[in-house]
Amino acid sequence: MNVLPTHSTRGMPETVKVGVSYAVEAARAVDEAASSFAAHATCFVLVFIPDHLDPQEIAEQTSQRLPSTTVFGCTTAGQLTPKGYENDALVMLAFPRRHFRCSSALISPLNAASIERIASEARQLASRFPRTANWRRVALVIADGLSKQEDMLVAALDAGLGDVPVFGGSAGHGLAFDETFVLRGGEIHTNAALLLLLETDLCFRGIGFDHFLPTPKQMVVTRAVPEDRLVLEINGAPAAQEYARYVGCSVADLSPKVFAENPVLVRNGKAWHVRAIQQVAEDDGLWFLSAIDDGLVLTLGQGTEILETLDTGLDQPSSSGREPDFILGFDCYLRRLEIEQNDLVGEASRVLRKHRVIGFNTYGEQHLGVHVNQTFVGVAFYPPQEGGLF
Amino acid sequence: MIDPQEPLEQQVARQNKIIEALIQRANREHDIGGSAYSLFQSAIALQGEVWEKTRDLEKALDTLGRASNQLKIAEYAREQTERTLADALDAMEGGFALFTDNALEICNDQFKRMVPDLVESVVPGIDIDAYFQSLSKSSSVVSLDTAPGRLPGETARKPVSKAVRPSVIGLRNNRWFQITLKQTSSKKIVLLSTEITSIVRQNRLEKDRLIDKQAMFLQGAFDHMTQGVCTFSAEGTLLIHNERFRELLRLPFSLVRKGTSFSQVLEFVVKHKLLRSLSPDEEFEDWIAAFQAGQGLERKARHVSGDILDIRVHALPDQGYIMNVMDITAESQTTELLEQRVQERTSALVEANDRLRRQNEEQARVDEQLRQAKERAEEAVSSKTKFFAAASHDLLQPINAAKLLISTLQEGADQTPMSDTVQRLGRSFNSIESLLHALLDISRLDSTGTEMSVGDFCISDLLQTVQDDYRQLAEEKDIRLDIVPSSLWVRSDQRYLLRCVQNLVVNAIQYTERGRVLAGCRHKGDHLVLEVWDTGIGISKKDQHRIFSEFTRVSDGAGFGMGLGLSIVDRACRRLGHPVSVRSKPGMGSVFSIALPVVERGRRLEGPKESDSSSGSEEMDLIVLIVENNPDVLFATAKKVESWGGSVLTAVSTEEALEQVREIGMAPDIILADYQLDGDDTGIRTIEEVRSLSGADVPAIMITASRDESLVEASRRHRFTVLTKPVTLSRLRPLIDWKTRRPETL
Repeated sequence: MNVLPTHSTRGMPETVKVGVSYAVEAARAVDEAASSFAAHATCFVLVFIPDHLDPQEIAEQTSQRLPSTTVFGCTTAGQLTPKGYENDALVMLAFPRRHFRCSSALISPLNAASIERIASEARQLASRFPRTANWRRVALVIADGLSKQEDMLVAALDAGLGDVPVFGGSAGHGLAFDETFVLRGGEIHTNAALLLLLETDLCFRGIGFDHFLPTPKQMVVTRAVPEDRLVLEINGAPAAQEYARYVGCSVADLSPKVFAENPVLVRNGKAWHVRAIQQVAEDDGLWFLSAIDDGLVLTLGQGTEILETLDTGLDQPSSSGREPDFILGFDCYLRRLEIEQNDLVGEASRVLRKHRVIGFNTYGEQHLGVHVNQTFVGVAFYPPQEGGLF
Repeated sequence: MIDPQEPLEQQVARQNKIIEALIQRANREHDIGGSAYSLFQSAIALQGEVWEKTRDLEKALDTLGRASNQLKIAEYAREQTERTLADALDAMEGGFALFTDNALEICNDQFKRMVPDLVESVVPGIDIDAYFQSLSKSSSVVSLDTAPGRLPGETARKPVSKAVRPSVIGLRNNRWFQITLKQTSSKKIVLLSTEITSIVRQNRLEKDRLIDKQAMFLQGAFDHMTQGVCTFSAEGTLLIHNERFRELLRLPFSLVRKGTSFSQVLEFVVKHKLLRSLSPDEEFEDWIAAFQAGQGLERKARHVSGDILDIRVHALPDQGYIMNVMDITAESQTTELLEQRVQERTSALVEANDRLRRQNEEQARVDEQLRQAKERAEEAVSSKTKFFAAASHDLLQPINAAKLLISTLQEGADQTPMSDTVQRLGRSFNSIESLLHALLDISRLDSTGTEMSVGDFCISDLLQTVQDDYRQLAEEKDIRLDIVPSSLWVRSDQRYLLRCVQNLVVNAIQYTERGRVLAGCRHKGDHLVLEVWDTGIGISKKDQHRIFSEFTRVSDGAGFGMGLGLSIVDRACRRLGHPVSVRSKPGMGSVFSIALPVVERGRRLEGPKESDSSSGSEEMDLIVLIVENNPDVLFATAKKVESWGGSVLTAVSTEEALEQVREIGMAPDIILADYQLDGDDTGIRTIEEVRSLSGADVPAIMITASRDESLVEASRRHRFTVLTKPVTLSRLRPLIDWKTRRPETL
């Protein structure tokens, strides 16, 4: 099962090992995926769980199958495997001891945590994690995708970790929007976030891009519940109705696919950020996937060439011209929806294969202290430097 | 922004809400943010700055790292190169110096120490011309040679110009150096010095020795020659000669000496008339004229003493000339003698040749007569064989008819007083038939055109056939016949082998009064030995040699037949290459054996099974088309088939057969056809046309007296079975049943 076709032009990553299984039964899936790497050489494993597998069972099976290996993971809204986009793959990404060291913290419960507490926890974690000379640090965060706390979380982590860059994605669960989990040490948690502090001798670089440009169509949020990311009124009218009018359809027709193709953007200086709509609330309100506020001016966005931006965004040669060995990717499920809708999955998968992206589809992305939507966030790791002349 | 289709009041109300929300937001902008969105905003502002700084830093670090690395590499490479260069220079055998812009940059020890009194002045920076100048002034240098390729010492001269760059330097202590100058680039010049002292010395020594040696060698060589040799210089003075030269020409000692001129020698020869030309119209004086005209000379002359001399004068490379004198008296005489003998021999040969030719013609005439005689004999044998074959064939036709009729008659005469007579009649016809077969076989084996159709088959069928055919005969004589089964595969002609075994078994039964006959196979290596044992009268040693010839029987009157059986066995096996042998003791019995090659087991072809013959007693419910141009045979065959219960259609030709089929409007169940019909009509044509008319693949049996091998090929192509005449009824019935039943069993 984990023998993958080699039609990708560049083959498999050299530093990390990828295990994939399509088995429908948890024990077998874990066994198959885990057979592609040697546990003793592994620092830690990231596992991305497809929505047909029970996360609880996966947690139990991994701790049985890999008793002495640290395993982190989450439920997903789709997986990025060595074949590209997939929906039914259990993916295991094994980070070797040779190039990685890791320390982790679980922030739970998330909705009750204060910025100060999270920041100090992160600071403590960083200070207790001894530094290795010439190795660099990067933080990965995986949060419950329905906790609505990611804005606060990343702001706090950014403050607590200082100059360590933070990247991450929010766990998903297909398109169900019911419950999402993060996995740590054989247990699953909801209303929680996972912080991984990595140290590596590999060069790496953060990636973040979207594919939207603003249109002249603007609207104003006139009533909202910011703590619930709920917008009740836009332009003084019920939010869903007014959004539907802008998009040109009826409220009944609003669906994740419509939201994916017609995102609303907010402006910050020269930058535009997507505020993704999750679904229609009762009384024609709209649930959002990132922070909103009263009096916010929303601009309707317009998509550009999604494949081209994907290929350009992932094309990240190092300063010495080397291609990344692999890219750990956090790709918004809305992008995936748009790609599916336009029948571009094959093409997009080809681009992902070409750049060796491994990761999952998120309910939101964390990029250097900012929680964003409908973007691609990733960390490109470069192959180890060849031993130079000196 | 607001839906213009809404009522105006509604629009105003909404506008108010928008304004209110915007104002509130604008006010909140200055609060210290605790809300999620303000966190988002400040984070973005921060992110932008951080990102920009990180990127600048990264770029700077990268550039710095790369630059310092390159510097280190360059430094290391330079040191390495210098070290390597120094090592390489010292390791060189010759001297090396590199000049940049005509100034010495680097040189090795060998170069520096080449000229002893210049060691001090060879320092980095010295000008190349200055170096050469000091070289030319140096007291150590004896010679400077600029001409390449010439050995030093021959043209030793001091250079005057300061620009002279010598290629070879000779030093006081008798050492020699070759100097090579190479312009490697516009500013760089490389000087290489190689010591060639030993080569120069060697050369000189060699040359002196060679000159002395050659003179001695030449004189020695001249002295040992049987020819007289004398060389003259370009001016015509004698240089070297040998004793033989003087002897041959009978010249006085005083004349032949170093320094004598050629004309003196000539004068002496002319004066004493020492030489006389062999050709009468040419005088010796003419030679001198020819020679002085600068032509070479090759003449034979008779010396006054009677010797015949061969004199040759040729020019030498240094304008001088060489004179050879050879005594050819003996050769001349021998030649004359030889010529005479050759003439005698030639005339004798011519005569012998004539004789031979006459004999040859005679021989050819006899050959031609012999050939004609042979042709006549062959023709006679061939026509006899053909006649035999034709006669046997023609005889078989009526016998076939008669046998069929007798068979019908037998059934009718059963239980009547005639029964016994009819049976005897039948038996005597059987005898005639087997006799005819034997004759036919012999004639066929004798005719050279007969081809054996050799193939691989299983011996078991053959043994089974023998058992079936002769069980009854043996029972009649109250002899036990045992055939030991074997399933080995052999390579042979199945028909002839069967005939041979049949003959051996029949013979055995005939010559055995009581006891048993046993036939079986032994496997010996890659051969199978088929043996037939009997407990008969046996054959004496002297009879054993002649039993295989025709019409030989061991005890006259004791058996029947004409004694053709063993003759057929012998002929057939000889043609097949199977050795036949016999062991016997009179009164005890005999063993005949045939050895034949065993082959790998092949695929076994389906044939009618033994059990099929049991169906012969059942009623035959078939439409049988019989095509036969002989009315008797046609009638007899039809009667027989009708007696089995079949419905018979008869025809004498293909046309009639087709008409019959058309009339009944359906295909017959089987065709029994004679091969040779009237004219060029054949049974094959009948089968083909009946099949195409009826559109059915009607099974067919070809009954023929012809044993043409091409029929076997045709039978495969047209899917019919061949039965040879006369037809054995015990075979025909099961064959018909098998052929017509086969589709159902499939």
